[in-house]
Amino acid sequence: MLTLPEAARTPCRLPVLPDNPTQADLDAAYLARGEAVAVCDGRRDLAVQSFDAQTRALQPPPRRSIWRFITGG
Amino acid sequence: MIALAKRLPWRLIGYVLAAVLALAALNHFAGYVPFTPQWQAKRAEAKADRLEAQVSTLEREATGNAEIATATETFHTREIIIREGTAEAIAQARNAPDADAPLTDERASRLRSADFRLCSEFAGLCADADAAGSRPDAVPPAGPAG
Repeated sequence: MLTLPEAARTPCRLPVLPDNPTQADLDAAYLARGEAVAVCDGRRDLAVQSFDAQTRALQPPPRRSIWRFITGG
Repeated sequence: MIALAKRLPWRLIGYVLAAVLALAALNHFAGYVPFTPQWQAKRAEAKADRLEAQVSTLEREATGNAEIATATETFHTREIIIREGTAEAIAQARNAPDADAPLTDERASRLRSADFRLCSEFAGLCADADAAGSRPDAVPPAGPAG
């Protein structure tokens, strides 16, 4: 059974301005939102890669070849 | 050629072929008779096939888990780099000369209003924008961010 990483399940969070914001708060919010987008995209990518790995793992094994069937190997 | 065909022991060849066919049929049907060697061989073969399929499944799962582990490690490495860079940039912003200058009420209100629309459209995306101090994702008001 494949396990989905916890990071891929973690929802994205948007940083917001505090009450009575200052210029520094605005800068920080801008930077924190950039960080949130980048991390969130990383989580999305992780979820996609996990899904792809799971899809590959669930594919049925290759069928027995006709030669093996004839020879009984 | 015709003379050679006439010299072949066709009757004997027929008997041999018939015997081979009879043995093959007997061998085949013996597989359905319990406790015969053929039956046991058939069961062993089926068991080997099942085990082979299980091993194949486990191998594919192990490969998939290894791929996921690699992807997770890559993500965490990138996350650390991103967070460190952001923390450094925020610290610089906090130390800027105009860092403590408050935003105008109109500007702050406009930004808060936009946040409110965004946060009410996507439930759970933001912390409660109205409850001061209870927002884990609110940008800390002062001091270098960690």
